[in-house]
This record gives sequence, C-alpha cells and structure tokens, in this order.
Amino acid sequence: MTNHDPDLQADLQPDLQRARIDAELAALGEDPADDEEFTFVASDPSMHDDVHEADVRTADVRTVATLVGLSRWDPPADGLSALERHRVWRRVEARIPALPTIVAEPGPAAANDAASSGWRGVVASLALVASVTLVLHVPVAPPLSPEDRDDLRSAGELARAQLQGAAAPSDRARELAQRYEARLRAARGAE
Amino acid sequence: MIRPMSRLMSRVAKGRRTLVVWALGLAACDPSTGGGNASPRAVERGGPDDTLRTHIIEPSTPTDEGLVYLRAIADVHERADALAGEARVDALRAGLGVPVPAGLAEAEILRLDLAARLGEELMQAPRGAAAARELLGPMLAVERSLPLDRATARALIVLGDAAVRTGDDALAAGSYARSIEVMSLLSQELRQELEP
Repeated sequence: MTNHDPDLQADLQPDLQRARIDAELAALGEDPADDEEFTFVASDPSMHDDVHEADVRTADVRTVATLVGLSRWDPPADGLSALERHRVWRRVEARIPALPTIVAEPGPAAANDAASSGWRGVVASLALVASVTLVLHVPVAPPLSPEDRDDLRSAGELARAQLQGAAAPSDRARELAQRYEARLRAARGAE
Repeated sequence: MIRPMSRLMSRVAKGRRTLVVWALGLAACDPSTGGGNASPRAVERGGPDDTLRTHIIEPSTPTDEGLVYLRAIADVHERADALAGEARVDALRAGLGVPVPAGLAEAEILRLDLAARLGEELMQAPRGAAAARELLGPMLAVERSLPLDRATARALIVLGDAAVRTGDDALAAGSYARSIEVMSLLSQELRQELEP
C-alpha cells in the first residue's frame, strides 16, 4: 500500500493520492476505498512521515525476507534434536533483534520444548505421588484405640500376676548358689 | 545343659499365644501360619511380634569357678539391696560385667534376672525407659532362644513396661504375650513333672 516513491509523497494532492490508491486496489481486484477508508488512510501519520515510513518499510522488508528465508529452509532428513532446534531459533533470534515478536512466535522447537517441559512436569508429579504413596505404605502401627490400650494394660497386669509369689532375683541368686554348692560338695564326696 | 522345648509344649503354647494376642486386639494371629510365630502380616503392619523360642536350662556340672560366679552374683544383689538410685544401678551393671565361666548354663538365668532388675532401676530415672529397652531389647530379641525360666518372664515384663513408656505398643504387646507364654509353658512343664 505504501510502495510509491517517497520523494513524490509530499507533492501528492488528496485527489491524486486517492486516485492512486484506487488504482492499486483495482489492480488487486478490490473495490475502491470509500470516503471513510480514505480518511483513515490519509490521517495515518505514517503516510506522511518519511522517516517513520522508511523504518516501517525496512521492518516490513526484513520481516518478509526472514519469513521467506525460513519457509525455504530445508530441515535435515533426520530432523533436529531439541537442543539443535533451540540453537537454530536462538541464531534466528540473534539475527533479527528488531523483530522480537516474529521470533517469539512458537515454532516447532518452542512447541517441543513446551511439550517436553509439560511432560517433565507430569513425570515429576507422578514421581511425587508415587513417593507419597510409598511413604504411606511404610508399615506403621495404627494408634491404639482406648479399648486396645485397656487390653494392653490388662496384658501387662496378667503377666505380672503370673509372676506373683516368685522369688525375688536376689533370693533366687542366693538359692541357686547354695544349691550349686551342695551339688559341688556332693560331687566331690562321691569322688 | 540346654534342652529344646518339646513339640507338645510348642503346640500348647501356640494355642495360648494365639488367644493372648487375640485378646490384646492388636494383631490378627493367623492360625494357618503355624510354627508358633506371629502372623507375618500383622508384623509387617507394625503389629506385635510374639515369636518365642525357648530352651530348658539343665543343671550344669558344678565347678569351683561356677560356684565363685554364682556367689559373686548373689553378692551383687545383696549389695544392690543396700544401695539406692545411681549407686544401685552401678552395682547391678557391674554384676552384668562379671565374666561367665565356660559351661555354666545357670549363668543365663542369673544374667536375665540381673538385667531385669537393672531395667527396673533404670526406669526410675527420667528417660530411663529408653535405656532399659536398649539393655533388654537385644537380650530378648525374637530371633534368640530364651531360657524357659521365670527370669525370662520377668525380663520380658520389664521390656514391655519400657516399651509402653517409650510409645512402642507393638513391642509392649509382644513382650507381655511372650512373658505370659513363658509362664504358661513353665506351668505345663511342672504339671508334666508331677504326673505319675
């Protein structure tokens, strides 16, 4: 739309400008611009600012050139690894720093990275769930209910009751020593 | 001389043990497992292990060394009776350090009695229950064969008490059950001896 000679831009009159626009649209098979559209185009400062228009045109040309270059790029038959794709896109990004929005478009590498990152997240989540499950399966005795605690206390009392009346350890030791001595004497007497 | 427990005794013991553990309501003792062991599933779940292996202590051939040892242990108890607190603990600990003469089977009973008494004394002190468990736990481990004697039953009760205080209900239940079983086996053994 702005591919006319910038040197002549200042000299163009509104009628001539409109006629040229209509001619361009007709060449593209489009209907002529109505008044509202023409007013909008005429009010666009980029149509009248030579410096800005030059920047815009340069950016447009570089954008188109980059896209054409990318479209003609033949990937290797074996494909690229995730790391190689990442490097390619980093190189492209470095070459056209003025067009970050184009480079930022999610290409195959970015998509793959995002996908693998997503999978990594899923795997990490599963691992976390598995580890929690394993931890929960470690044999741990459940806490005793009040009834169980009463039973445990009763078992202790029953065990102690069975020992009631048994000789104390000190008496037992003395008794064992005396019996042992008697046996020793008996054995010596028999010799 | 050490004599393994008779098969009949084992069978009687198994029935009693099953009853005890069932009464405790802490472990489902699976009768199909046999062998006198607690249900493996119950143990896997952290339930009580009431496995009990026993042997009978037969009087050993008396020797001078044996008599010296027995007298020394009797003296340790007598000394401990006259002491209190830390001093009593030290005296009993020293008794466990007395070297055992070779072939003196009775020493196993005396050492268990000493350990049980020491465990009781340890539990009088703050955090003594853990010390009592450390002392008695290895001596009364389910993997070991224990003397069929009152000393074993006493030591198992002290271990059970220590386990209760340290929050190990499974060990407590298992220890009490094993103690009751030891006394039941002794009772059966006595009845057999009295039978014509």
